[in-house]
Amino acid sequence: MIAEETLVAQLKGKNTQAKAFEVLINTYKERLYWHIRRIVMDHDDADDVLQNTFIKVYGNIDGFKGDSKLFSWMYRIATNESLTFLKQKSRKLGVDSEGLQTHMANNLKADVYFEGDEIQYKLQQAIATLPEKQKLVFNMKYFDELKYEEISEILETSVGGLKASYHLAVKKIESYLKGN
Amino acid sequence: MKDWKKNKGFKTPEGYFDGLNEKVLQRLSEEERSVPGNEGFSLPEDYFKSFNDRIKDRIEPQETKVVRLHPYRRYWVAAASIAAIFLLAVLIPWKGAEAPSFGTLANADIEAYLDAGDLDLSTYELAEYLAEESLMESDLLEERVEEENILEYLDDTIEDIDELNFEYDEE
Repeated sequence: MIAEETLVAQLKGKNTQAKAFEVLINTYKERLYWHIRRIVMDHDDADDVLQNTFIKVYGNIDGFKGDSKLFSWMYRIATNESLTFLKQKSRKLGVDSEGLQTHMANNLKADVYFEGDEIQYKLQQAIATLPEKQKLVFNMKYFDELKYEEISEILETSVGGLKASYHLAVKKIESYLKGN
Repeated sequence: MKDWKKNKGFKTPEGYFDGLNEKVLQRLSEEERSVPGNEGFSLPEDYFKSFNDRIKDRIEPQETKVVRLHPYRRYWVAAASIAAIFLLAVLIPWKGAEAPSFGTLANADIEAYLDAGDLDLSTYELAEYLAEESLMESDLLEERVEEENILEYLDDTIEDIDELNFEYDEE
């Protein structure tokens, strides 16, 4: 795999940009897709947000100073794009963010791209009840299997705060699953 | 090396310690995953294969040659524009334009702006603009803080969860 510094340098160079961007997409598209999909739930929405994320990365690569890892920076862009997308969606539907989460989780059964069984459906409904930050931390820790240090760099939050969020999220999900 | 097997009366099945690490790690991962691990999401076949091309199409729009339909049109459009500007200059009564102020803004517009989240100010920064007289003491005394909000607040502000020493009621 190509070193991150080399890839960033190639992305900034006019002659090497196109090729490097293809490498970047191939390396991160699946990871970012699943991260986004867990936030927006619907495949078509995830596709839109993923494209927007890569276009933002492409347009802003000159502004990437290397203070964080390229991977963390892209994850942060993907997270922000997903949350902005959800805000726009809730405004369009005329519901608040909690209403939108419930609406999305309830729609899963009718989604052709959701093949989960009853317990997986219940899990998504439980995740939908979490506040935004707990939901993000839970997904990144539990499904993406990221380390707290990596999540801390992406969400720009302390590791202690993240541990608390994850702990609360797991407790809430467990109690939801037990009660339903 | 220390001899842990001091009690000679007990024994273990052959190879017990060899497989112990794996068993413990397996148990640990099972316990950590007391909620289901698979999400059930799927996606169209070959979605990722075609993704690169779709992104490229968006980044590099196809350049197509523009053929002007009516090249002479721009002359009379320019002439019409000059005439229109002249007419407007003659017909519009000239008054000094009023500078916009907060008084001219409808409250609904300000609320919509704040609701849309376009104001990038923290709660503390907003509080600085609120006059103290407009806050009643009873606002603070009678306002009930929900447990969810307290947890959210702690969640956002504390550095180390262990410092809180809070306990959960285990069933």
